[in-house]
Amino acid sequence: MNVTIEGLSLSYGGVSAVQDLDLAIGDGESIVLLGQSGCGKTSTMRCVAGLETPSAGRIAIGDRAVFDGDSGKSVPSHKRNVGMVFQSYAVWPHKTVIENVAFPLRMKGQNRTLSRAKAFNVLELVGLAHLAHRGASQLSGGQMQRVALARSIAMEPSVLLLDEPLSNLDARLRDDLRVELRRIQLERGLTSLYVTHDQQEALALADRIAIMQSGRIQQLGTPQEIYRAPATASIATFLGVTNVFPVERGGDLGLRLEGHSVALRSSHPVPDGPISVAVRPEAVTVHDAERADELTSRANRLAGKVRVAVYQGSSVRYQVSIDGGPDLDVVSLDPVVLAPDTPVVVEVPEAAVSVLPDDTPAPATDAAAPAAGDTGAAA
Amino acid sequence: MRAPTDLGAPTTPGSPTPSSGGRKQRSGRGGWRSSGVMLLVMGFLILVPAGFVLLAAFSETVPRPGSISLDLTVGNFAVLGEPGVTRATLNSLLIATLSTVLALAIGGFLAFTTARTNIPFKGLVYLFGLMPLFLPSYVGALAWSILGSPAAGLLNIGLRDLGLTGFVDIYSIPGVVMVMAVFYAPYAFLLIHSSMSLMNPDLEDASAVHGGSQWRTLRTVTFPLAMPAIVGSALLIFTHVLENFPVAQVLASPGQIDTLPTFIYRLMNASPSRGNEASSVAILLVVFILVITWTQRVLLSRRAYTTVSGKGVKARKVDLGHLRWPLFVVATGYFLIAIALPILALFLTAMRTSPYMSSFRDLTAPGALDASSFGTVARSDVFLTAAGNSVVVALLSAAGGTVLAFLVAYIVYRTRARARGLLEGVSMVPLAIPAIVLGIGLLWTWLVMPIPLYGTLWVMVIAFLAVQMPQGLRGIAASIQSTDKDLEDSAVLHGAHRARAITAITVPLMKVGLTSTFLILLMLSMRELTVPLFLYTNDTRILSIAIFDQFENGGALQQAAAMSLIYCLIMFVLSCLPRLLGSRGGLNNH
Repeated sequence: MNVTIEGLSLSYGGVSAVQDLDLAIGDGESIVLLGQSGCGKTSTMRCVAGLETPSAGRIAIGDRAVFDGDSGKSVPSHKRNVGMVFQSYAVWPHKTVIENVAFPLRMKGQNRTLSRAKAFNVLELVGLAHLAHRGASQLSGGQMQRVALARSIAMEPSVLLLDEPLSNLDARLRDDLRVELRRIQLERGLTSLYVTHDQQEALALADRIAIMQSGRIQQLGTPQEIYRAPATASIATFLGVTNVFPVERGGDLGLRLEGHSVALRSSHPVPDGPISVAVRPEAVTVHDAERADELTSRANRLAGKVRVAVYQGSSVRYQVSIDGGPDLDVVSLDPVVLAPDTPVVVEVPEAAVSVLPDDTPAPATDAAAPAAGDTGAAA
Repeated sequence: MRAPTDLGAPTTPGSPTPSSGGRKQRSGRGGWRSSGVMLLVMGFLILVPAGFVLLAAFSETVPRPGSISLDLTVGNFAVLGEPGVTRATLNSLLIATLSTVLALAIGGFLAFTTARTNIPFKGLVYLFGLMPLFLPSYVGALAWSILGSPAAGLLNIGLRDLGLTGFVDIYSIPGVVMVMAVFYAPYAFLLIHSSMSLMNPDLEDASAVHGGSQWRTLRTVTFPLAMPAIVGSALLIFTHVLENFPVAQVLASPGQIDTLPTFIYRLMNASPSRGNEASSVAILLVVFILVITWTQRVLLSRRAYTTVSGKGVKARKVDLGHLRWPLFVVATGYFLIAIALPILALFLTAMRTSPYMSSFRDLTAPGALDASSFGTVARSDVFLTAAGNSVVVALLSAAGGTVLAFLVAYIVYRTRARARGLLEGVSMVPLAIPAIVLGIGLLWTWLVMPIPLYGTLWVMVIAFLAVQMPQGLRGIAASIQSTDKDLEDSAVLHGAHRARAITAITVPLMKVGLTSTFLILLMLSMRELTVPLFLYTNDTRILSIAIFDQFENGGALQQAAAMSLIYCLIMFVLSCLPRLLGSRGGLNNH
């Protein structure tokens, strides 16, 4: 079912966690709220679940308003038909796996046999049918995560909420479960709202990503849009673009990096206000200075020296100290590893130099404390 | 304040529209409803009795049915200038200080040797540290008065048998200090032991690696890290000794030594009763306790408890070398003083047919020892009534106390109800009020109340609910805080009403915590003496009162000793229950 959030605000004892947030989730759509801890993403989700009482706004699931700040209407959590996978899984340790999964069905008044049969089907979907009669406290982390998911799917929720469900798992398992989550979400056409601080997870699972900073959605778009064109420098930093530098405008050479004598040309338009340039490390190429004749034409060329080279198997990660400039992160697919102190020339294509406003200006009404995610601000 | 998730009460499960529109002030998680009701209950149980003592301290007459005096005066505080009060105050502080130091030495020694050394029979030494907990302090005091009274004490008789002059006088400040220290040492033992055994060994290894010798490591790392436990137990013991009435009454009063609690008791029992002056002395005692409690907060809040790592750590062990056996003998000495001698003395007294004994040789005479008194006592009306009353009162107050503590803990830790900090504060107030003071307050409260509960067992139950609220709340709070709130929220999201989620998820998960809190309250109710001392009537004697009465009134030493032993047996069985229940609970999980 589609979910509509309008003007949602939440504050705890004067501290504002969510500010005037609007979000519409389509039927069967997967939205990921992506942001750093404390940005309000979990609070937003808990408002949808009914575990927090918003201070204002309106939340509707399908055609039914579950919260309306104007009329004071608020449907209790257990009548919202919202499924939720908790970060801690919240699998009840004193019940067996099948009892956990059948719980929501029993709460809907279905009889024991029928609810068990349904629960068993869902356990098969997540590949845990063979553990149905195990005590839940005997499961591994990955298995608990699947039980938590099965339990929420079994209730056929109007919307499924997932609160960093993979964050307690090790990297391998996380990759596997990410794929499986997406498969189940698509197969079942689950409307879902997913909260995470991991951009890889967000890119993999979302139909659309909503980037949250200091209680607001700063950018909303498909994973491709977000990845290709982060709206601000701080979002770019958050998305793992390591080369973000504040720049001064003007001059013939292009955009001069603040505090350095180096400038970069960009093929992108320059927005108003304080700006930064952002360059993905994998868009930069690095060449031994002695073989600099291989260079292509439409690119910034900068001379420098290798400071650190880290061999990563399929790639080599460099930190290059640019002459008269900052250190630049480079990921090179060239299997040759350049030794530290090798003089190099780096090439930054003009199209790879994004020019971003430092931050979305806050609305004039905002009296809240400075945003926690202001990492892109000029130094 | 609008609340979608109520405590369960405000919306009925079947109603189609759980909240009608338009009402801006809704009670529930953020409201007053739940906390307000509990505040009223706690205020009634705890604040009203405390208030009566305060009122009595500042008025001409004590509260009586139909007449609560509001003519305020500070005249009662003139009693504080009497030399008797000054002596009692100095005695109290002296006894508390010396007992604390001695108890810390004993408890710290046992804790260190069992947690961190290779002392022989470590498990046994650990038991030595715990065992005095099973013996109520006044039973210990009574036993020691049998052992150490200057004229007829068994130790003195024994010494005279050996041709020495008897020189043990338990009716003295050193005597009181020794008994107090011996019976409060387990508090220090438990706290310091857990601190020392949970300490992250890396911290000590780091000292060793950086050149610290074993002794230096102990002195500069281990003991400073255990400081919060040491300071915490010191203040805990100090307050307990300061407000302890039974031991002082049994051992200090015969030697004409007054402490503040015995002084208050004498003022109350004087004829005519000097209740108002007793109240003003009580206020003085409360002030002492408040100052100490406050000091404890200030001292401990500055410390970070970063030593507990939670992992299954293996603490470093110190090799005692040739001191192993001598130290084991020292530990055994503690066991003798705290447990073995008192129990033997009680057995001997219970089985002696003649109340008089001038030498241990008398015992070899035929018919000098006889176990029949146990049977006589166990069948006597006094014992059966008191035992029955004790069981009823203890069960009701433990059950009621557990439920109340759960409700308070739920509101405080799981809701955003208003004034929940105040609710917790009120529930903890009895910690700062000595039992003897609260006992007086409860007496006046239930004499004045138009509800005719005075003289029934119910008034005992209510008194125990009030007195033991802090212990109950601590137990439940620890349990509720270690139970993930998501587990209950998860049930609500999956369609369960909040009340159903609490009963189906939270309560079963807290089973161990609830059971152990229930049993702790049961034990406390079984052994409490001071508070019921003001509330009992002839029909509502409980075991602790019956024993105390028979000793105090002198005549029935044999019966009292036999009853004490039966009573200790009951306490021991009760204290074994948690382990039995715990292990069965463990089996259920498979």
